[in-house]
Amino acid sequence: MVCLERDIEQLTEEARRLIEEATDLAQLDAIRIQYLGRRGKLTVLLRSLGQQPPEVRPRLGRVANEAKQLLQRLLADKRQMLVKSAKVPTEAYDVTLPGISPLVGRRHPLSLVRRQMEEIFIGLGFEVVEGREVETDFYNFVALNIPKDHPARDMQSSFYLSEEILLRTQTSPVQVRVMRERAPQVPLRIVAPGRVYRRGDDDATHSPVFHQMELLAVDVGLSMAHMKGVLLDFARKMFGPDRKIRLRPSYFPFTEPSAEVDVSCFCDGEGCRLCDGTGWLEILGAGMVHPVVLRNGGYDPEYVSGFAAGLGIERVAMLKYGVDDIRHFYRNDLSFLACFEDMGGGWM
Amino acid sequence: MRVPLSWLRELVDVPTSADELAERLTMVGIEVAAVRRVTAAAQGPVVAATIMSAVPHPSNPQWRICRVSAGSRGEFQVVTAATNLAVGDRVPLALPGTRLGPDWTIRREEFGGEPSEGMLCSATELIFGIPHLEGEGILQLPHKCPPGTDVVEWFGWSEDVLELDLTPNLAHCFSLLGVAREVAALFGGKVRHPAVARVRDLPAARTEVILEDPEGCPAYVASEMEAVRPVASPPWLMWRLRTVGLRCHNVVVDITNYTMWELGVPLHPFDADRLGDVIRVRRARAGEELLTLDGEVRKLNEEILVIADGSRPVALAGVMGGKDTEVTSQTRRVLLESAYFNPFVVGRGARRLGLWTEAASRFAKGVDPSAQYTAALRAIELLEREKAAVLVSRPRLVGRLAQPHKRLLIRPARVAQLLGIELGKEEVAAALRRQGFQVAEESQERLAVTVPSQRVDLNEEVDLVEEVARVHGYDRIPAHRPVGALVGAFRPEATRLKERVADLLVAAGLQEVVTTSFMPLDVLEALGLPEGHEWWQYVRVMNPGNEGQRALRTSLIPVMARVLTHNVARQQRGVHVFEIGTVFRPAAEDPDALPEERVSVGLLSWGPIGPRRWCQPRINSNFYYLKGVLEELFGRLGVGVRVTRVDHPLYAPGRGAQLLVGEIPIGHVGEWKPEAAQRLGLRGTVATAEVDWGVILAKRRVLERVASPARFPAVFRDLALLVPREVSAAAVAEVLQRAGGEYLEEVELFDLYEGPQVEAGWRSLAFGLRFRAPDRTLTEEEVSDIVERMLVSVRERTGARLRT
Ligand SMILES: [Zn+2]
Repeated sequence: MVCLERDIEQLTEEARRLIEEATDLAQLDAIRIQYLGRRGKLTVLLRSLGQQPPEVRPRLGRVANEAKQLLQRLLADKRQMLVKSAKVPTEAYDVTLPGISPLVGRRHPLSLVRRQMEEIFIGLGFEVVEGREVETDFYNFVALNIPKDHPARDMQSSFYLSEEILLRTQTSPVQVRVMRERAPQVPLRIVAPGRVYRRGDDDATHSPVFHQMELLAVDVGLSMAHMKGVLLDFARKMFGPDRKIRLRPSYFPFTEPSAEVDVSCFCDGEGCRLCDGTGWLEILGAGMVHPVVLRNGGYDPEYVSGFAAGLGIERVAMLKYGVDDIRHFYRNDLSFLACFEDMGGGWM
Repeated sequence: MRVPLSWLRELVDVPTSADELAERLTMVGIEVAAVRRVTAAAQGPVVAATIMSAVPHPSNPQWRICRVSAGSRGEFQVVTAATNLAVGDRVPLALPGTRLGPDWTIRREEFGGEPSEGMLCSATELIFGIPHLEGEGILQLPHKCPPGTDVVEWFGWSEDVLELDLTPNLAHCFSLLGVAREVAALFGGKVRHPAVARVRDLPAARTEVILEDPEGCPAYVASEMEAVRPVASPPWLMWRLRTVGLRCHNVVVDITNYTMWELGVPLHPFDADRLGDVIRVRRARAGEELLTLDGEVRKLNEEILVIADGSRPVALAGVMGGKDTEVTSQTRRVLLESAYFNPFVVGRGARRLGLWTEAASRFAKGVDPSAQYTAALRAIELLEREKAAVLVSRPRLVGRLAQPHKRLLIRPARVAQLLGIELGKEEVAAALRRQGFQVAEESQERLAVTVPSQRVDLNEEVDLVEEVARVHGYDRIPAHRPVGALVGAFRPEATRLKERVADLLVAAGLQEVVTTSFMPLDVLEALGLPEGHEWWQYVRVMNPGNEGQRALRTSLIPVMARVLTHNVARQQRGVHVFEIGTVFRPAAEDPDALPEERVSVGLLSWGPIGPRRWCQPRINSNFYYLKGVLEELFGRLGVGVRVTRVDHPLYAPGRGAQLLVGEIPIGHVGEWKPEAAQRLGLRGTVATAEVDWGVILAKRRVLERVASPARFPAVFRDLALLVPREVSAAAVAEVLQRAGGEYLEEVELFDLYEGPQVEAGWRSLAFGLRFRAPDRTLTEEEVSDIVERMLVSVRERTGARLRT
């Protein structure tokens, strides 16, 4: 028993010395665990009291508890002392110095805009699909109601790789490819973004390589009013909640009726340079899928109808961010690219 | 297509202004690109003057000295070379200061010592600002035009012209008559058809017409005219041609052009004396040639439809006439052609010849197939009225003209369904009647609609649906969200993964770029890729628009090199970019197969990384930087990639590596040969990498379950090893890993030293090791034993020893 009591004293003394010598909180914590932790020396000793003869247990218990309390107090005191004595840095920072900026890149503006457009249409129930960039004359033209020698072929001049193979001039070939995969299932709702190619002008508003997004819906009972509804939603999500849209009759061989779609300008109809004083900005072409195209896709135009639209991604990006030259997107001037952030969420 | 307002008003009432009309037409799909003010060429004081006297010039018998009186503007002396002048004539006098063209201003001058205080002008000079035509004299003004009057104003040579930007379906609007029909529909007016000649009791025509290709030319009207006077056109006609942007030739040619503009039917006059008695409309034969009106010799083939006489082609049908049979000032007899040519045949021919004349583009879009006879009579009416020619026989119609109307059916219920508007049968009928169509009830569900054959765009029900929508107004279609079954609207996995790769590369500090799909062959050359290298195996573009569009890219690196040189020229200090884009390879063997399209991920890095910082030095980009980016990318996507040295012609010896998944090469990374950079005018190290994205898609690991965080503490050890130079770091790490057993969690190389502190041929590699057992805290002794085993193993296998 005497022996055990001495052990407690020794342990206490040992711990007291260590606590005194400790210089930081981590050390103090280590000491606490070493003596008072679940497997700490004093804890283990206290636990062994149960094996001692009953007559000595109360006394030993008292001694041990006193030792425990003592250590706890010493630890607490020392802790307070250490916290208080923590050094105040002598030199103040120049808080106006630049911070250490993390190295993070950026997406290209066309990717930002494409992604935002995709998300708007996904939200409206359209699924994203991708198509080929090199197409056959059949899918790019014939299947879209543009036979050989059709005058509409002169509307867009194409880069041919061979007599029958060309770089697609529009994302519309995806329409018939997807319809052929899915017909006669309805509803079919897709958006197909991608690169398209047109031979000819290379100027501030035309690039031989640019991006389009095709929109196609086929279902029972779809009407032009539904097309207008979807495009109005798009215009408002993309350009702001107060935008209006306007449909003007137009012509595309693969839709009928066809429409040119304008969105009201940021000047709210006042007329400005962007809209050439008209108050309206031309953003896309659209229409009801032509019966010939539906049939080519494997649908019966007597039972289903559809609408389609083709949007120029550069065009949307240029309008949205006031970019005056389409070639900026392809020159990749880093200082130009650094201007873009995905700030489109405001209306989402 | 240009539509002068005064001309349009002849055919239909236009109860509004030019701007309002433009707006209304645009909203029914006839886009008015601009309303332009067309004026005469003459700008300045051109006044009517009476010739008081005319005497020969003393030193030049070709000239005369005229004294003219311009009323209140005074009297003037003018020297003129004109011959059609007599005392008492009323003529236009351009006073000094009048501008007829950019380099043509009238000044007071002296001719052979005689002062000339202005110029007496022809109509061509005043209207077009070009020298008068052969045989054209001074414009004779009527006497009701008082002396001193401003001539340009008196004629009204200034008016608004609508410039239409027409889609190809609106073929009928390539004529004043067609536009007039649209205007009548818009404002509820009636079209006034232009006067045509009455067919008199004349003998039958002598000219024989043989239609050898009835598909190419189903109908031909030939009219024989004599007493031809191909003089300059009268001022009203010249002015009309000016307003629509045509040039003037002589009254015969001008009237045929005028008729084409008015009715949309192209006509062609031949000099009948230069033509045989037979007209054959046939395909050209290979080897035949024709000198056309524009002075070019055209090589013909079977695709091209021609008008031939007995022996030779004399005109390209529907495209352009021949020079030899042209109507000139010598022409005395004319054969006037008014024919219908197949749109596809003319279109193909015009495309082959690259010759899109006014006539060809009208035929290709579709001319009214019923109007050829009427159009001939209209031209004859004008020719006779202007005393330019006299019809001498009945116009001969060969072949068959289309009916002037066609009958189509439409279901009003279908209209309502497609447009999404509540439209009843009556409303549909009313809309179509406003277009000038006759509508009758066919059955309970159907209406029968009679439309003029000029509307070549209307052939089936859906065409009429569009017509109803146009008339009813697109702005009256409501906006509804579609109602229907929900479908899973997602990005497909492949698209999503592309976004993920891009986002990871952005997080790694790279800027995304988007470049052209065409391969810059000059850059490829500069990069020093040898002939036969796979980047030279490109897909060719048959009809490039310029040199830069001859090839499709086989790799992203040459186009990205362009981005680098552009930005270096724009004073950028560091360029660290990536692109995810399509590259193209020719299809194996089969020429009809589509080329292979693959998505590629390209990386390019040059210059210091990140901005200059006040508290940290910067490092320059190099091989290891891009390799690190790739390791991060592959690590995150769970693609197991091995990197081995490789000799790549772009990369400096020993500075290029191949990326492998299993044994399949999926890309490369390296530092350019210095000469490649130099040839592009670049200094410093350029590092690039390119990876086939398809492999990432196929080989990525999909995360299935995650281990719980470790419960027991780890034990760390650092190990500095001296390793023979020829042993790769990866080899040492691999031996360590293997010898470490199950408790070794990580081997990380954190230091490398070569130099005076270690002996030559050796280097020091320092590895950080982390050990952990899943079920207990490892003891120091256990860990020491393991490390000892690792040291033995690494010594035996690589010759490495502990650095002391
Ligand atoms: Zn505006």
